[in-house]
Amino acid sequence: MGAIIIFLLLMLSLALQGSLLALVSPNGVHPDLLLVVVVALALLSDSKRGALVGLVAGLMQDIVFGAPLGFFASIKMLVGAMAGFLAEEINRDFVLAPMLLVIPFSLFNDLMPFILSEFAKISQPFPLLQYLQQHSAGRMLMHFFIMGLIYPYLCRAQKRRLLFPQLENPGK
Amino acid sequence: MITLFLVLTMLLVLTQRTVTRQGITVAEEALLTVVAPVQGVFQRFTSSVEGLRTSIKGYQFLAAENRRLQDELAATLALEARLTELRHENNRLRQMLNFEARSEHELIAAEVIARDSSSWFQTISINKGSLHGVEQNLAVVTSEGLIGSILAVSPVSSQVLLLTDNRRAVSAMVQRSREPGMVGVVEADADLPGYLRMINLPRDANIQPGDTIISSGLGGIYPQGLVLGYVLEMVEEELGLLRFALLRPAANFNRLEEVFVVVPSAVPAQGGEGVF
Repeated sequence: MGAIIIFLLLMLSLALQGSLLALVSPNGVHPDLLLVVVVALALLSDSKRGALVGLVAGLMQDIVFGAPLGFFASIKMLVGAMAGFLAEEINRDFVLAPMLLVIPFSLFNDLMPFILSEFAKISQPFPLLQYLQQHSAGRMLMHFFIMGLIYPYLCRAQKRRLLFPQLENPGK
Repeated sequence: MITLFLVLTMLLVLTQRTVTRQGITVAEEALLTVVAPVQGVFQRFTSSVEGLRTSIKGYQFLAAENRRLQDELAATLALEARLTELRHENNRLRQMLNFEARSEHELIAAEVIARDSSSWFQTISINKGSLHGVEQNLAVVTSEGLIGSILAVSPVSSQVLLLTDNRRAVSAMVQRSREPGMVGVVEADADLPGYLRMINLPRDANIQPGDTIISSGLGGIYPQGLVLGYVLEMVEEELGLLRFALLRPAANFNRLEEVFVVVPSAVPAQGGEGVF
């Protein structure tokens, strides 16, 4: 049941990201809702489940938006794994922690494609510094607020064991 | 940790191998089939929100726009009548010269249901797929000009690789000069996102700012004569042997809502363009 809910959640995020959120684009900067959801779910579980959620989310993004398979999957899997490592270190009832944590993960999510593109011989659409200046700062701010909006609902769902029913202690 | 490392390695290898892939697997097709209706619902909602926002922006602007469009429509109707005449004349001349007349292209109208917001890959999803006659590599246009080609097809939706994506290049020529040696390749400009550039132009190429660049028809993917963009300036390559032209795309890639898939009935098959 939890897996189905998470899959539907990821699909919903993907559909929203490609449509409604494309409207919210000051200077062409779009939020990555999928990333926020992956970080939130990883913080509510552990590194193993976080990595798995990130892998599935990234693969869906690769397939739906025609990217090379594995490009976003590897990035989001790493994000999920790292966020999962921090899951035991934060007070999950305190929404400010995920809101602050999503900022470095956004930066990581923006930096990794440049490293991967070198590896996979994909030409870069922007120079790194220009990209960080024009896109990353705005995106980090957007993710901060989006996390504040969605995390409480996901946290409440996990307390009712709707997302990861196997986890014994959803709150700390 | 070891599992994570192994999966990561596999994903990296997969990425490297699928950069230039064409076609999708059954699993991907299934996912696209499931996601497309959801995307369609959200896109319709998004269109409603955007429509409301536009309405609020200014009724006066819309009224003026309406008047201008009516004038343009009248002019277009006159132009269409003239075009019909020219088409008849063209066909007659072709027959006289024993040329095989090119068939009219069938157009499949489609709505954009999603677009990649990652900034790394320039793709959109449309609500027409193989059930509607869409096939891989068909050209996709708007009323303004060529925007890309079909990258992957599922039964009810398709992915379009836009011209502004670095993985796509198109064989093109200058509409004004039409010199045989003037066929260049139009690709996305990595330094100026959203712009195109026509590369491999000789130093003495007959091309100037304001020229219209059209598809040359070489390669078999894009029919000849589809407008790609307009020359903004000529730039010399680093070694000075060749030049490239910076182009403003004919279509507005930020406002793609309705597009047409071009189903050519007769396309010359030669080398010259494809997915890079």
